[in-house]
Parts: sequence; structure tokens; C-alpha cells
Amino acid sequence: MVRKARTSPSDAIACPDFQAWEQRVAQLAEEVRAGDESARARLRAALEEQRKRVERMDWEGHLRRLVVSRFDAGVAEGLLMRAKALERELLSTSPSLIERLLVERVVTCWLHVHTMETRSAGKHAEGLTIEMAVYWQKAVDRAQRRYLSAARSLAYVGRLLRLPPVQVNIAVVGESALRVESATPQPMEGDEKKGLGPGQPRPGGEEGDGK
Amino acid sequence: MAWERRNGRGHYYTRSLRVGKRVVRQYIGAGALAEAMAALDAAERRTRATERERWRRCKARYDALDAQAAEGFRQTSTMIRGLLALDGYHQHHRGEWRRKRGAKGKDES
Repeated sequence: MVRKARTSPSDAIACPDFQAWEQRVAQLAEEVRAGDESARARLRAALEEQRKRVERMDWEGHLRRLVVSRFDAGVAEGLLMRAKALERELLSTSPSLIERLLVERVVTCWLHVHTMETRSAGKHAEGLTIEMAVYWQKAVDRAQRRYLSAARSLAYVGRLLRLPPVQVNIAVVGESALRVESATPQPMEGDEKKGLGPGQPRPGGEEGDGK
Repeated sequence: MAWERRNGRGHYYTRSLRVGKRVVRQYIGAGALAEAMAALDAAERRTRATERERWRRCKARYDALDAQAAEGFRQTSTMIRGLLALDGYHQHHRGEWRRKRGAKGKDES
């Protein structure tokens, strides 16, 4: 009998006071920008507090386990290992916190896209109503948007902070591949208003056709 | 009501069907054959209800997963923005991130 590795969605990573924290960080960042030196220490403390909380909760690990939870245990474990390998591949030898966060996010988003594509293909094979097909398409699109945005942020922040060059080159279903590489930093437009985000399409072609 | 009496007599099984914009009644019959058809229809209705419930649960599960992924994404973004600010960067008009000339990085303060 095949055992399923299941985690209930109710195992949500709860962070009830996150909004308050987010506002505080935004305000402190603004104060730092305005030149208030005392705000710098407070901002560092606020970020440190959240980092500890995220690490304690193993946010990315939890999310990844949740993403693969509908697969058989063996497949789920394989996917998690693949994600870890990809993470190692993308990280430099001594990654900073910001680089680690970005890489972890790219990998988690990749895993989510992969899962949704696989699930969607499986459901299509079973036969879907129009409503279901539209739902799956939108779900895959959302996951893909986040993934592309995360990859762009990694490339952008990497160039900004002069991190070792990273090329994200991951094929997705349909043989299309994403290649993130650019010579000069480009402006980012507010990703989903708040996030670090997608920016303008850059010269160098980031959405290749698998070449 | 799928079972009808006509002119105060009989016990007839009928189905409602949509034809274009109208709903019409289809006469199936009476007796053992009608009973069998009614049982089949009932079974089909139960199957459809089960399918609907399954789909609802599946959607709820994936919606929850999507919400968590989006929340994780947002939290990481805030964290990164904060770290960039700490490093002396600011976002110029919601666009490009720039570092103030001579700004203190996190390791320099």
C-alpha cells in the first residue's frame, strides 16, 4: 500500500501580527532613509525578530511539504530533494540572508509551479468541465507569475548587491524555459504592490523558448 | 416532482429537461420500468452531488495552498525590502532601488 505524505491545509503558517510588523518595517525603512540613525537598530531588530520566527517555523520547508503533500510519499521526498539540490546550485558559497531568502523563494515557487502543472495535467487526463479547466489554468498562472517574479527579483537584487552571478534556467511543462540574465539592473515595478518584483522586460530576453 | 398523477389517476415518472430556454417535462412511464428509471436517475444525482463535493474540497485545498504561497511570498518580499533599506537602499518612485551616496550599510553602522 502506498502511503500518502499528507499535511492538512489547516497546518497554515500563521503569523497573525504580520501586518503590524509589515507596517512597522515600512515605517522604520522610511525613517532610515530619512537619516534617522536610531531607526536603523530598530529596523534590524524587527527584521531579526521575523527572521528568527520564520526560521523557527521553517516556513519554506513547511510550505514545500505542503505543496508536495498530495503526492505519494516517495515522489514527495524526491521533489523535496530536487528542490534542495536546486537551492544548493543557486546559492553562493557564503550566502547572505537576503540571497538565501531570494533563492529559497525561487525554489519554493518552482516547486509550486511544478506541482500545479503536474496536478493540472493529471486532472485534464481524468476529464474536466470548463469550470474546472479554467480554475486549474488560473491556479497554474498564479503560481507561474510568482515564480517569474521571484526569479526576476533574485537576478535584480543579485546585480544590485553584486552577488555572484546566477542564471536560473528551469524548463517547465511545454518545453518552454525561463532564463533570467541581464547586463544592467532595471527598475522594478511594485510586484503585487508590495513585493520585490517583476520590472520591465529586459534586453537579453528573459522568456526564451527553451534555447 | 418526478412522479406525477394525471387526471387524478396513475403514478407516472417524468423528467424535467431544458430545451433551449424552456424547461419541458419528459414522460417516462409507469410501473416497474419507471421505478427502475427513477432509481437510475437518483443514483446519477447522488454521483453528481458526490463529484461536486469532491471538487469543492479539492478547490478549497488548492486555494488554501495558493493563499499560503502568496502569503509566504509577501512576507519574504517585506523582509527583503527591509534588508535592502538596512543596507542603505531605497526604492525610487516605486521603481528602481538606489543606494544613497555614502549611505551606511548594515555592516558599517
